[in-house]
Amino acid sequence: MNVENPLTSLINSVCKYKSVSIIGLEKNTGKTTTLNFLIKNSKNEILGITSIGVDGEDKSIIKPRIHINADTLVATAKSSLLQSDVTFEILSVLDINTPLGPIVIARSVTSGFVEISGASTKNGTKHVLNILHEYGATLTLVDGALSRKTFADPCITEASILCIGAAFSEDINVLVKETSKLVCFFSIEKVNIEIYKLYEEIMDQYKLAFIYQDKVLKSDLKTVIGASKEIQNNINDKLRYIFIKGIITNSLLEDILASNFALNQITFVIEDGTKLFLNMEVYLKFLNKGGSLKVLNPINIIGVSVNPQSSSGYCLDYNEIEKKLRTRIKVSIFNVLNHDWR
Amino acid sequence: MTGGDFMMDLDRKTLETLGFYTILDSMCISTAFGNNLLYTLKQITDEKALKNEYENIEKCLIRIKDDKFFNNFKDLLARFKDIRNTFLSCKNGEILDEVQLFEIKRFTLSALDLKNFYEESKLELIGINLLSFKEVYQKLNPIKNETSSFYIYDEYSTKLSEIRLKKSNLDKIVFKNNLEESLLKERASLANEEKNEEFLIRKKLSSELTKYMKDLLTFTENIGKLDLLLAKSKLALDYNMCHPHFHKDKFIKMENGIHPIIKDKIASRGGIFYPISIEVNCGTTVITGANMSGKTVILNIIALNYIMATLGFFSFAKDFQFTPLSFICFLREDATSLENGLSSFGGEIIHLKYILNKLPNEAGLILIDEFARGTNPLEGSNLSKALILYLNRFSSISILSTHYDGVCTLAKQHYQIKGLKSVDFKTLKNSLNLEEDKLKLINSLMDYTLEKVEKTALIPKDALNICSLLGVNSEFIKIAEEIYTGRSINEK
Repeated sequence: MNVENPLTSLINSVCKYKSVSIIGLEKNTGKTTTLNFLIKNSKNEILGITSIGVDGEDKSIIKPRIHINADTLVATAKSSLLQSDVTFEILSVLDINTPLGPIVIARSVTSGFVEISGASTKNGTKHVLNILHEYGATLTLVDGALSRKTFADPCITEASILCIGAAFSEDINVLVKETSKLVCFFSIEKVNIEIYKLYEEIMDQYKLAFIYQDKVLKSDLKTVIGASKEIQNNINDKLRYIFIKGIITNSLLEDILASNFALNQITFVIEDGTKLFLNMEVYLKFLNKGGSLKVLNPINIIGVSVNPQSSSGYCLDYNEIEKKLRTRIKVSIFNVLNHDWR
Repeated sequence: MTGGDFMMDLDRKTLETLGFYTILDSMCISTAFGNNLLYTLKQITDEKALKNEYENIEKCLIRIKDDKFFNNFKDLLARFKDIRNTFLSCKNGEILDEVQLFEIKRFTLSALDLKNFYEESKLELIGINLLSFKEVYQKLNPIKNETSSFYIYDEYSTKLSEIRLKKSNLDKIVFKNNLEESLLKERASLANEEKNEEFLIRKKLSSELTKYMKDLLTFTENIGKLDLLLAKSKLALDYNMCHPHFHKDKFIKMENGIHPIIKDKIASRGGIFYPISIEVNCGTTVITGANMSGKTVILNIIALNYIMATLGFFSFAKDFQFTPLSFICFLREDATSLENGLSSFGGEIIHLKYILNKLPNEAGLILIDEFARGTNPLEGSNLSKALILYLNRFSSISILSTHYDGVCTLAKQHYQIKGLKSVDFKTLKNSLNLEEDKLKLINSLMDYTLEKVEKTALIPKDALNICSLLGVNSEFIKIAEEIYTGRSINEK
């Protein structure tokens, strides 16, 4: 039972927040198991559960069935609600529509399994979180998604738990590397309030902007992909910030680094760590050359959940994963398959 | 274009040009039901019904001066979701699901609140009857506390409570025993039993509720009527509209009528809007005035206010008296005929043919803006004269604007826009220098009010004055003056 401490500390830190999202890089990384664990161990809280849905009909994504106790608040699409074997007291029907019907707010009268399919937009999810709190939820768990296809926004919640596992890669080193990279990217420093406001104001309509000491230049480019030339053309001594709305790829940074411009007076500002599609090496190279990157919204990772079992049944050595991760990240790490959970 | 197919023979395009839809869009409607009514307005032909509608608006108008009352009323109305489809499904004998039952329950609660509010307000509007759906609420609320939430309560069937008790006892064991196969199977079978029993309850509930659906649908109509009344009275309050009155003969009398959109536009430019007063009977009335003096606007104002009154709204005027007529036609410069390849005259004639065909059988309001403007002046003038004489024979009310000379003597009445009548051009010419100042001045000196004149009154001839004032080449002015003088000598 020597894993009790990290788990208890995880539950304690989860309960400090009003909303926590569970995000997984792939299917079978243990999101559902993690969610079920948190549900089981948050007895003192009035729980709210929802998910960040997926735009369009991605049939490969099977909605997880989560086990809930009585008196749990849920926000899920109408047909998911009606299919559940839980008896739900229906509290409200929202004006948010999904392919599975409008989002319904309900409270469980009995325990059981329910499929959670939530709003698929950022604003929709924000609204749902507010409503769940209005109905009395003290902690809302959000089943999130983090894949290149969905761009779901972990920043909507106050904290997040990252789920990784053998399903992502059966090579421990790759797994450890990717995980620590994500944790590093997600915790990149936040910009100050003036820059935050300036970004929000300018980037409503634009994808790329240059902030100089004396002026602001907005780019007409519709995407940041392949914008390295435009960026290079606009670097000069007076440049202080480059606002980017979109993804930063390896090639973008590599091109900028190859151009040998002095980067130490310039801060790149992006929305959040999910927008970095980079290798750690490129990022470190960028930092070494004096480059600086800040985000509007850091993602507060309070724990990493590891699923050592891949879908083929092969099981990695959890202890080794944990040991290697410990040297690189500070947050709680735990094993989803630990049977004490169930 | 063969005349209207839309409302009182007015087509959509004309209504758009009149600004009618802009006015509708600006009204504060809170419900889907009110919205439906607003965009499917029909002429109210029954006099009693029209009178009742005006009465209702009058009653609401007095009360909504109290902001709090108005806002509370609107907020109450806005609570109603459009679940008519659910009502229809139930009426047709379909079995409702839990979410639909919840929505019906919530509807009945809001209905009760609305009924209480309405009765306390003592508005006593004609034609509004709000029923109570307490029975429906009670059927959906067997636990007897005041909730708006819903689920298939245990209270509905003892069998259901037994199944649920078994299932929850089983749940306590199942999850402790690591989801053992046989336990899960047992749980699944209990869950199935539960769903079946719930289905039977839903079926029973749905069939019990069927008989209330017609009344619930009628209730939504009442919500719509209340919503629309509230919006009409708000409009009346905001624009100081008047309660229209009937007149027994074919007659329209408008005192200080305005067009709210045009008035707002002019005000935003810093100009003054001149309200229009006019009185017309059957036969023709001719409106004349110099160019750019606003003849079309006057016709628009008459048309708009007549339409408002006949649809059961108040009118944008200090006083409006009228007779409900069976149609209203507006013949104006028509873009669609141009699109169809006809000359604008061709389009006019086709429309005119349609109007003339109606005359022997029905009495309507006919507005014609500068008939035959596109043809040569002699023919245009002759055709206009013929039209006026012909229209005089019927009981329809016809109002024509024209700038052709000699036409007005044949009409029953002649109104003229004062225009630049009282302006002393000589002194003006010497005072200002800049062109734009002069134009501005002309605009500000234009008197757009209407006055009744003798049938023989001549059409104002301000065009040459304006040319002169604006400093057009003096040689040209001299030649024009000679022609004018020559002409007036010939006229005498």
